[in-house]
Amino acid sequence: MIRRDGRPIWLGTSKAYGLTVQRKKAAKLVWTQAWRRLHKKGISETASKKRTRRVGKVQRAVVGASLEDIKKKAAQKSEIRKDAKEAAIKELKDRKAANKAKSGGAKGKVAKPHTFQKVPKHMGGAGKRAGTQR
Amino acid sequence: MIQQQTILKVSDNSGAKTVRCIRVLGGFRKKYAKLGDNIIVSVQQLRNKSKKTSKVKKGEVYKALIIRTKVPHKKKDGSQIWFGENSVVLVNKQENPVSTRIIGPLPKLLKKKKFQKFISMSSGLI
Repeated sequence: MIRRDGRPIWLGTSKAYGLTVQRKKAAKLVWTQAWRRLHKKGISETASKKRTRRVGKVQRAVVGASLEDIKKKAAQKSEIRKDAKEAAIKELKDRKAANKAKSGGAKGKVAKPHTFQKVPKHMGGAGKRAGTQR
Repeated sequence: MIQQQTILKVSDNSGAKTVRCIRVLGGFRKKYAKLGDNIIVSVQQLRNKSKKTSKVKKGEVYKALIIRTKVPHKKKDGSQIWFGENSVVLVNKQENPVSTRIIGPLPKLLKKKKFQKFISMSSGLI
């Protein structure tokens, strides 16, 4: 059955149908689920079960590597990374020093990029207008 | 199954509250009207709030379109739809609505070009 406001109602028994026609409120009839929810009957058993402790992260051995190997590798990684980083930085520095020693002043000039003459803003007005075509 | 003397509720903002069916349209000695049929009605009661601003007067005769019935409407897939009341929307001789709003949804049975105006006025199809 669909009510005037558009909401459908499903009714199982003639008892329920008769009472809805009389516009009785389900929350006021003791045998209904709505009343039980309102007065919190039969909820305590289901609510207490929900709490379970979460198990922390457990490292397990895989077929290829035993627990110890995995742990070793994990610990190693941070050290290796550090060393690798330092080595790379050192290399760069050495290279730079070697380059400077070889070429001296000449190579340094060529390497510098071409810089524009920067005109200060307030003086550039006349020059700009001459250049652009509108 | 709406017939002569049936009192129906009005689900629009024309100002009428209840109407009485005085003639079932659509055939010689046709006895009953169902969802989507037109009937001729006479206005019985007006809504209290809109007595001054209502578009209809008590005792006036109008045509009406049945939009809700308590009797189930059977669909071709075997399902049925029925409502909690017998309800009607007032309509003029050219079968255009008298009101500007319809309260509640319309049945999907009325999803036809003919009823486009009614569908746009209502809250939807159900």
